[in-house]
Amino acid sequence: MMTRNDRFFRGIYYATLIMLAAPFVLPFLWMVSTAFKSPSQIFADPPQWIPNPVTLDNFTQAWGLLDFPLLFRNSFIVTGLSVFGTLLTSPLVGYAFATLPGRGKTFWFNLMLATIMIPSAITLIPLFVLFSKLGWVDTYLPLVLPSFFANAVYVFLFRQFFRTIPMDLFESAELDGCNPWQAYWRIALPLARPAVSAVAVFAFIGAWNDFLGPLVYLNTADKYTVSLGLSLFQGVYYTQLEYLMPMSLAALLPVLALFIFSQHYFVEGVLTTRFEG
Amino acid sequence: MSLTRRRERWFYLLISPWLAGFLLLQLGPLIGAFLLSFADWPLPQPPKFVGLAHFGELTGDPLLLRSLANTLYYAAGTVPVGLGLGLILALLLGRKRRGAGLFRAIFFLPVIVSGVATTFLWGWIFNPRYGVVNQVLGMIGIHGPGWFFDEHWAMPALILMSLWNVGVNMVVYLAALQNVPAELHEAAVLDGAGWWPRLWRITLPMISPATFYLMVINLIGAFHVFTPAYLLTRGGPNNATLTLPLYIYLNAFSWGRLGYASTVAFLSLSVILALTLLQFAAAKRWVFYAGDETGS
Repeated sequence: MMTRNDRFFRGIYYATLIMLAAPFVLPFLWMVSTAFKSPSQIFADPPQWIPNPVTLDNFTQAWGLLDFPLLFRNSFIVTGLSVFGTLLTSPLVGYAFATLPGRGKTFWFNLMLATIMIPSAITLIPLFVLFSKLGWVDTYLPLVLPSFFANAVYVFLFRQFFRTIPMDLFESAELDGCNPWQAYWRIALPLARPAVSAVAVFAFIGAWNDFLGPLVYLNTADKYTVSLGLSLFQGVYYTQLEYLMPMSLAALLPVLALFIFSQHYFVEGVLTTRFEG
Repeated sequence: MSLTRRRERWFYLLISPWLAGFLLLQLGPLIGAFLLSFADWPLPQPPKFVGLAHFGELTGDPLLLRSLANTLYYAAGTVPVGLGLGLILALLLGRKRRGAGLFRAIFFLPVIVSGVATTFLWGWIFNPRYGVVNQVLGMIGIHGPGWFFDEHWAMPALILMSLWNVGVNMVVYLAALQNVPAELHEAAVLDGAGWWPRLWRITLPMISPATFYLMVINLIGAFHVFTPAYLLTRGGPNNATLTLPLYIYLNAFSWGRLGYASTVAFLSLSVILALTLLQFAAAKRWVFYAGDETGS
């Protein structure tokens, strides 16, 4: 039986949550609302939350200002290759750390965890020099290639995952004549599907949102990613908000859609394994 | 060759992608950055050795001091509030109440989408005349500040904006709260302890490792703030939002001073390292690890 007191506290509880959630939700709604307004409504005083009339003009005109199909294509190429590289190597290295013996394994493992702390700002400059000497500036190689060398955070995540699987499974496969690679490819990787899809989502979002990488390495407009193309519109000093908001909204959509279908990876278990011992 | 020996070889073979990446993309560049801080390298010309000149320049560089002060201001503004807010959200959403999952997703969403688009969105929200913040303040009779246009309010605006990413802290605290043994609370309730003493005497000590972890990670994160400072203000007005990463970027890629940028990057790394070691030293006094009586 729910007493009147319980009901009162439940009311307070949800009222608090809704108040706290407002600054997290309203900016998105404000963005959507701005995108569908005519300029005179955008600068209306007092502000109008519901566009009246709803206009699609901003989208059609913004579409002409930036070559969005090209930007999206470029972003999907960079993001797709990054996800592919990550999934090719990170689970493999994680499997080796979880199941195989090796002299100095603890040392390498601790070293790998320590590398997470190296700030990218410090390695960025020598890497830029290296990549420009190789003639790779203004190509996707500097953006994509690092993901093929296994990412420490994801390796750690896979290692934790493989440690939850009974070792006998891999050992008996090896006794049956599989080498460790075959045991990984045929048995371990198919079992790791939940971890693989979670890491695929993280890697996708990381690559899609990346701004500094494209900013440093890409020079010609037909190679720009969505983030970089969008950044050409100069922040708060840019007055044509009626174009900026629909373009920003379009840039968010792939990640937004991905999050809606995969939010359980983020708010339950999988992500948090990276934060434990 | 024994089975173990053969499996050891496989171990090194399978971790070789990471090992190669470590040497080529991390250790090598780290050494490169160190050497670079003793040189000028105006690409495409060859590098020139300048000795300790860049280190001498650090001491008399007003922009460097400004960017260091700004970064510390940003850290002091974001880290404590972000931790407190993350904890409050986790405490509210820790138990499986109806709708908790939806609220968790809402609070975490900004972390996922943060980038150029949301940076522009916040620039618009903080627009002094038409932005929703000042419009709402105007309704209750407050004349809002110029935010990113005002050198005293640009950094507070950047800090408020960063609190949008508090979902990371919430998720870590949620995981930590799950590991607090329920018996502790039950025993305390039997002894007549109320909600508030239990929070201070049981919950906070039990989750102190998470708090420590978040302090370290958030402080390092504060030394990485680049995108909003670059996109919205380019460090202005009057250098009020010139952060260390932005100053490094401008030196390296706008002013062609790769060598000096590396020197500043090393300074930034040493400050992060010093602050992190300080936190580790202080942690012995307040971080409690269950099952370890010495508390170390």
